[in-house]
Amino acid sequence: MDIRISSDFLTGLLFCGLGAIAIIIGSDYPIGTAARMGAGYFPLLVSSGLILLGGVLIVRSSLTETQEVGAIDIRPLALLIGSILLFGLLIEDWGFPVAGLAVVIGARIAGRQYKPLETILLAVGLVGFCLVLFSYGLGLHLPATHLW
Amino acid sequence: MELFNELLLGFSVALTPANLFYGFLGVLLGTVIGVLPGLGPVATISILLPVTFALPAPAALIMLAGIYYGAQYGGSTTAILVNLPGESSSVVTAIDGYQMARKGQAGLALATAALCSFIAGTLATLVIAVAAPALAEVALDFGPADYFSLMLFGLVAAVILAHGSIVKAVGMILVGILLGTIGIDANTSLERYTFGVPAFGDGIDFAVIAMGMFGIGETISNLEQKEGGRSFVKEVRGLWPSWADIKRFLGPALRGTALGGCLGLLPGGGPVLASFSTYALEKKLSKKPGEFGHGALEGVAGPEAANNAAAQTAFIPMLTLGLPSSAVMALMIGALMMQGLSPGPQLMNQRPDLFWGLIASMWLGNLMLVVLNLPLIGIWVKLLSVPYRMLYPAIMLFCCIGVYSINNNALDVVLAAVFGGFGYMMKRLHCEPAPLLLGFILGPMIEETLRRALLISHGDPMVFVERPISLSFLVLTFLLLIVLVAPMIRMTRERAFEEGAD
Repeated sequence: MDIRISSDFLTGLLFCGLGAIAIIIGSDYPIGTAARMGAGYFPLLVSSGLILLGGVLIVRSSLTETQEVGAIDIRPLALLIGSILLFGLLIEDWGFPVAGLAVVIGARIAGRQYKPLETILLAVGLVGFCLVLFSYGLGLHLPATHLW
Repeated sequence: MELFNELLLGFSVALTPANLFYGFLGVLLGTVIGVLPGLGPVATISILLPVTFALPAPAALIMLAGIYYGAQYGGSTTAILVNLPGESSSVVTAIDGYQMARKGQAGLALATAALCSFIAGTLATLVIAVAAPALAEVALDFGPADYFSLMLFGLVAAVILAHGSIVKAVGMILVGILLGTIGIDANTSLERYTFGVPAFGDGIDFAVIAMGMFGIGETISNLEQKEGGRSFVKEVRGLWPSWADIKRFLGPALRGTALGGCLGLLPGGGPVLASFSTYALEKKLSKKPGEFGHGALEGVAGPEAANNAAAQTAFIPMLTLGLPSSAVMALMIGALMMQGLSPGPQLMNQRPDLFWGLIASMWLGNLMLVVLNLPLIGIWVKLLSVPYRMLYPAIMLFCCIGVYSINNNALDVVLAAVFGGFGYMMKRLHCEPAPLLLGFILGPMIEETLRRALLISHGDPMVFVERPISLSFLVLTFLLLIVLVAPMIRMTRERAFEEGAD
């Protein structure tokens, strides 16, 4: 995916968006006075600053020529994030061995030169190693590792 | 002789078999992750943080500190042999170190790097031992307004070191501060930005953000780039430098230590800035500046001493003020807090064993690192041949385990994945993750000190300029801002001039 938009412009948009969201969600928080600040005082201050900076970036990107974002490779991005999400979803119900295999295999598919056999061996080896090291060696409580 | 007694206490703590073992484990792990690209000290310390909970406080800190400065040694090994800096602070070492290795002087380059790091480490340890107690004494007088101004100064200093756009770096700091407000407000016990999720009540754990943005985000960008064939120098001969070599690198090593030691004190400063400035200094001082870039011994000695000295002195603000100057120091503070200790000027009096034990262990750790890095260099060369495609799935698995074990909460893993995506996106937008993390760490402290300072002064903002300590930090901040803006004005003007000439 090739994005031919100025990276400064997009960053500015993002900063403004984040600032605005923070102000909207935080609009219920009491502001108080400088001497007795409410919960909303400081976040409002920071979000306003963020919007201001976002504005500067947007204006600047229209005045001077800035770098474009360029090509984005979707495959590693989506697959890597996906495999970590999968780990998060699997860990509690299916236990560490299943979740661990999922994240290693998923991560390996995300990269180049994917070889099924090598991936399976790597996944089993790594999960076994982590079981011994973290669960038995260091005593971390990972789900479904003390069934046997 | 007080210092002597205190150091003696330190060594008596650091030399117990258990602490020696944890110190060794730390520097060994540090060397490994320094050699391996893609896994830095931030991610490693985050992963091991939950594990250290079971250890006594001195052992935990000794091990984590070992990882940090061990990584500086390991990073230079890869820089010299493969031209691939394992850590960002060894980027400069790669310039001349790799050229030396290609000329068959790999052994000399490695020995210079290790010995200069050792010299710097020894001197910096002494500096900490002398300066930290004095600073802690001063820090006891710090009020909320002073802390606020100090942190403001730290954040501005951090901006200088961020690569690229200043506006973006400040923006990232603000995003970090905003993320830091998530959770129950300590003063009014109102929930902020929790979306009704109980787990958000305590805020997001910073290890989640660190691992997401550094570990996962960096891996995604690494995968985008093609894995180039790495050619590296496999044979390392002539490890021991001659007397002439030692005389040649002693000067740069001492200058690097001095400069690096000062820069390490700056919040957000640390090893990267130190190594770059020392390289520039040595090039200026050299009688043969043409040699730099083609295998100058001074170009390895100076920066290596500087980055190690800076890595050590970065502990001073953390230990005396409770202020983290970098992501790693923030993790150290996290480790202290998990042990039920509050970092700050009182730490030294409350737990002298911990304080002096840590300092003594740094010197011992540096000694171990020389042994680890010189005679055992063959092992690290072998480790370098592990291909990245085998390495990064392991890094991902370690990250997942690390994030999950912080609170045994699967939601943290999901959050880390989200921050991984966010980190990648910001990287593509040329925004650095480091300022965000610094803002996130300092944010809650900034809010707290701002509130307290204004509460005491009944809302009068003059409190920040009336107190001398606070005022001096504000003046420093102002000066830094001018320095920051000045080259920008110059650059824009230069660009305008260029366009005008066309």
